[in-house]
Amino acid sequence: MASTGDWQVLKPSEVVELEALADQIWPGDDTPGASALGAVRFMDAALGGFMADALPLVQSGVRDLQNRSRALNPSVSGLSQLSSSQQYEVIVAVEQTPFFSTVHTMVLLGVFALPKYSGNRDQGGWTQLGFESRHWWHPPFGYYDARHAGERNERE
Amino acid sequence: MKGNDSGKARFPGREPVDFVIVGSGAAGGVLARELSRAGFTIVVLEQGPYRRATDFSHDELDTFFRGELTGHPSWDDPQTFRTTEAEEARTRSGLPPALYARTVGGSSVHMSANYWRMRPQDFKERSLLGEISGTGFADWPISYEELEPYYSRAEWEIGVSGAPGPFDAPRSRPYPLPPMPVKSSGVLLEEGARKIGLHPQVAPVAILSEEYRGRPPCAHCGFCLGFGCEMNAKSSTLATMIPEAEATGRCEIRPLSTVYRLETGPDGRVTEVAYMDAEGGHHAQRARSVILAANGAETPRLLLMSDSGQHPDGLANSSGLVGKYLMGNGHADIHADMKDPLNDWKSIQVTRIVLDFYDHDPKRGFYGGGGIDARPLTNASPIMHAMGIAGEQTPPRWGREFKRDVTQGFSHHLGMLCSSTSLPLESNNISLDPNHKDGMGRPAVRMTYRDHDHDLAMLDFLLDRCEEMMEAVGARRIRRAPAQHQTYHAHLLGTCRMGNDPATSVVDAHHRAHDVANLFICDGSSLVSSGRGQPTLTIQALAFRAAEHIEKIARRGEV
Repeated sequence: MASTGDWQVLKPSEVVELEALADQIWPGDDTPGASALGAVRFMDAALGGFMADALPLVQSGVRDLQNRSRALNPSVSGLSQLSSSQQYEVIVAVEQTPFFSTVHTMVLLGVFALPKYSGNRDQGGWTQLGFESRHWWHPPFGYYDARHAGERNERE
Repeated sequence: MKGNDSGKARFPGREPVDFVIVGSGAAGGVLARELSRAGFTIVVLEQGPYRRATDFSHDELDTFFRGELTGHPSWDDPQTFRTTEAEEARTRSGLPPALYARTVGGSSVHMSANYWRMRPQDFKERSLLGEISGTGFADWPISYEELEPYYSRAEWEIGVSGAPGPFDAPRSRPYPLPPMPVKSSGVLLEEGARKIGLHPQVAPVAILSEEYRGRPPCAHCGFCLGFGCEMNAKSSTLATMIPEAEATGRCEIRPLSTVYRLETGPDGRVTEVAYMDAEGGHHAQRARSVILAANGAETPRLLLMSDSGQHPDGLANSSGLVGKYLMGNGHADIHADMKDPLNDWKSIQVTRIVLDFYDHDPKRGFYGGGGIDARPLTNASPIMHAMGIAGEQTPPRWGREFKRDVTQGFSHHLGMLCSSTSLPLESNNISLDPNHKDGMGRPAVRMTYRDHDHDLAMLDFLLDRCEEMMEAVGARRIRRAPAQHQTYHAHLLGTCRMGNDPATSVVDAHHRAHDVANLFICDGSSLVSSGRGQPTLTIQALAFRAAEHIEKIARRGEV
């Protein structure tokens, strides 16, 4: 899926692991999950740029995920080959680590930051929220102020 | 006056200007405009760059994660934090302890622009209530009545939209602009407040509801808190005072100029202000008088860094109170979801407030007062909204239910913020860190801060009322935690307090340093008490008042 094409700093074996992790954090359901939204593309760009300091942490965290996955099931190469419930088990075991919190932050940045940072593909993250990037709006803004304006008009 | 081709003033550093103003924010911008209009020559030294409205964006990653406005553009400027003086202060990642914008216009650029006045009792609460042991609780040397004309002046010069509320202090002029359109969050606050017997009112904001003095009204884009306004509809000093100061031809705004020392002569007076440019080059600007308006963290830092044989504990610090009595206002927030969409991410932060609990009430059993508003807070933008929901638990939330709560919650989110008093404590302060320096060798800002028990009790009381209002309007998934000790402050107050007695204050009732005749200090550091949150209008009223006085005495040759 998203793991085709050239990567700046991440190796393909790291990309598939990070995609699996990102899709556990922000899963695909009736709308796309993090990897389809380009979150790992964002990570690659960020880790090759303004978040370069975090690259060693992410790489060693991925190796740790792979080791933990193989310990659970010796026939797999890493997290991405585990069943979803096994993935859950592995991730719960690392969710207190700096690695997990760093990736978690990057997943949300990759889903919601401006598309110029290589994530939020086709503004799909924003679509899931119902957010539109615009420079102007007019009242009413929501249900309750619209209702309030309606009641006021009726009174007048 | 020296001009250049673009018609803007440029002054050589070796020739003294009438005033150097350090900082171009809420106070510095007002002082620059008033004193340049009065005919004085001014150099404003601003550490941040000169960003214009067209330089601002809706880029959340830049704004909140890379500190586009709050970080130092040229070098690392770490700050350290500790809760008591017994601890070793540490640096940390994330928000800096003293959170302010480094840009021309200062924090008035990224504020959410709630413009509350203080009330008469704020200025004399110590006399009204008596001593509070272990605190520096004190009266102001001025009254509300003395400041009132300048509140009106600030509202009209800056551009404030609003309408008076039932408990407001007397005002000599109405608001210059009608209220902003009410949002769903404001309607719900109103409804909830009335249901529990409270008296909601229009939130006054320094954001234009209509065209005003050539500036366009707000377009409701929603990128307000933490962002610079791309329309110039937020009444920052960048959009209001600074262009008017520059238009006099007597005021030079010198951006990317980071001050590190105020030099004094043998007579103890300030002679020049030393600063560094973005490349680290050293400069000095000579001046007849200096005004510090660098905010409640950077102003004391500069004074403490300007020690000398004559001023061994720092400049203007014979009282020992420079940097002491830091107040930040208490803050606590509560979140919920509503059945129908509010879309609180559109338009400004706050449209309705509840000030029923502004006054101290001995029946509550602790000192304090505060206000409640309904606002999205950082849930107004996608990344911060998602981070907020992730952070409801430790470790961060993730997975299917997390995604559901984030996606459904964005448009349905109802948030309320409580703002309250901070008691002035000597043990809450800004000092120079002995172990950490910034990229140019200046000692780092060290913040020591622990909220007083009464501050937290007041916040918990206000949170109880919020929860009642939320329940009264049918809110779901109400998320609330007990009021927390604060570890960063966007309101930096009290660190060079004003007063009549040089032994117990740093500046006099007109902002002149007790110890240095040609040094004035006017910003959040001047405040004696914290009000109930939203200090910017008070800071600007003080700046208009200070400018009038400084002009008078400068004309008489008394500085």
